[in-house]
Amino acid sequence: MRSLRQGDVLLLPVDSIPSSVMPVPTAQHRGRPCLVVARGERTGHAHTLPADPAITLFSGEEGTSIGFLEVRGDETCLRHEEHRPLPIAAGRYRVIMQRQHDPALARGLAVAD
Amino acid sequence: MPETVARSHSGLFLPLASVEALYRHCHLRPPVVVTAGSAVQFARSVAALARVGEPGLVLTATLIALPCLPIALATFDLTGSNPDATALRGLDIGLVVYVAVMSVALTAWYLARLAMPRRSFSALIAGYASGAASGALAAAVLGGDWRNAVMGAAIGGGLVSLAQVVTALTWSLRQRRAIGQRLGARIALLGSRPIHDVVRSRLDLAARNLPESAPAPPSRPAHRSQPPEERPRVAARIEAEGRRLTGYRWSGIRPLLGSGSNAGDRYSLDRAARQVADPDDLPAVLRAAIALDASVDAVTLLEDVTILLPSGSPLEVVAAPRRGGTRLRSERAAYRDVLAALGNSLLLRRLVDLAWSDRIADRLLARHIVRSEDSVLRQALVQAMGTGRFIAAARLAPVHTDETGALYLVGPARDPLAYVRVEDATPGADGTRAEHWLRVPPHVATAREAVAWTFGVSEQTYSPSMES
Repeated sequence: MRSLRQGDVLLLPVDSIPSSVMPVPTAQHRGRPCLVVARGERTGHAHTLPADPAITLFSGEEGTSIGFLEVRGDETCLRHEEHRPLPIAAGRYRVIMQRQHDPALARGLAVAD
Repeated sequence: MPETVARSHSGLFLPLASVEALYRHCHLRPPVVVTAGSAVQFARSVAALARVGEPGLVLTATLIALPCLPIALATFDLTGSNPDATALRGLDIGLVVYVAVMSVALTAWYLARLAMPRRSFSALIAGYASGAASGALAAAVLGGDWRNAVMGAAIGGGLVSLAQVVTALTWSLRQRRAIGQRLGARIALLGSRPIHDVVRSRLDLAARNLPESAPAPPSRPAHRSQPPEERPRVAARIEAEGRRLTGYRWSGIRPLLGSGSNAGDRYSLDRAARQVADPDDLPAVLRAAIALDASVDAVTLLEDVTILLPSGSPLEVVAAPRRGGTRLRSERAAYRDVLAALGNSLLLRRLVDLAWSDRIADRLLARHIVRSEDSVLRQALVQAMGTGRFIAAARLAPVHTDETGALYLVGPARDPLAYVRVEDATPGADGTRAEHWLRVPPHVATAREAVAWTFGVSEQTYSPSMES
């Protein structure tokens, strides 16, 4: 199983999910319940997964742009207003948001789409 | 109070019936109503439609150019009919002096009436002087005779003054025709005369003749965001913008009623704090004015044309395009922010303004940014300009390109900034792929390593099997 990418979101397959992370509750986007993987600050667009009991999205440790995803059973799709749907096979993934370099802080910052 | 309203394209209610009623009760023809969407648009509409600027400009330019004709005729007569003469004849000198004195005196008198800003007057004088100098120089070079130079100066100055007048008139005519076409109504091409004095005198008389028991006017509806005490300040801001656009003092924008208006203290908006039980007891002209006043933040009354700024319109007066053309490049948002980040250097601002094209102005800014020694400041400057725009203006070539994108370095080699240009895997609705510029640390060697860094993984790990 290899990594998947949709815009500024990278899904990297992992063997296990740390026990310290917490599930992300279902949210509303464009009037529909879903799991919001990431939301653009400027555009309001979002990378979303269906609100399905077989899908669990975990938030990463506080202050990081990394989360986790577990898809059980059937394949699902990651959706975004500006990208084609990205099929995701069952499995466990690390969810990584794209970051940018800041010469002042000399560390990565989350990218704004 | 019955009120016929229409809804503008912005969703605001327009008191068209009260405008018509106000004009009718003042025994004026019903006007064409021009609705401005913002304070800036209001100022521009008044500048275009009101007959306030051009007569003054035309007369002033004419007065300045007045000595041209007798000077030209005198020198022509001197050189043509009496080639051997060495001085102007008494009659010619007298004529020239008389016309010159008269033109200066008339100009001064008219300027005092108009309160023309020094800038506009300076522009007229500078135009006249440059035309005169060019004419004199051309005549001197061609003919070599001082009389020809005098005649050339007179003709040159006159022609430039004429061109200034034609330019001013052409701008107004174009604006009026465009507004008329947009509204599908007849707009006087020569401009419309302000009639505030007519309306205000009626309102003032109506207010003064009210019996003590007459009801107070209703307060402006509570949902209106514009408080009464703010309205004269709004009017002043609009007038200032109009003055900037036209170069002439405006005095026609005042609230119809209340503080800052000429409708009399007795009928102020302070008194309007109390609700009226039966407004039908009021004179018809006041009723119409109250209805109009309740729905607009500013109104300019012209003969056959009314310009309204509905309540709730944006009031921020931002720099608008200058009369007859675009405003200075350094005042445009695309350049203002970058120049501010560069410290608002006066020299750089003037250079940007004088640049032949936006491309050259961008190149000028990009060169300044690239030379910046401090990478933190350089990054802020690039961000202010927009990375893609900056890279194109600086004409930088990528240091590495592969299937993931292109890597660029900006600035001195010892402390560069690095950017990777990537494209969306999914084309947009127009078939093109959106371009993104990502800041990466300058130690990355390849575009792939740069993209991998943005996801916090190594170049070897970054190999998505599918992208969308």
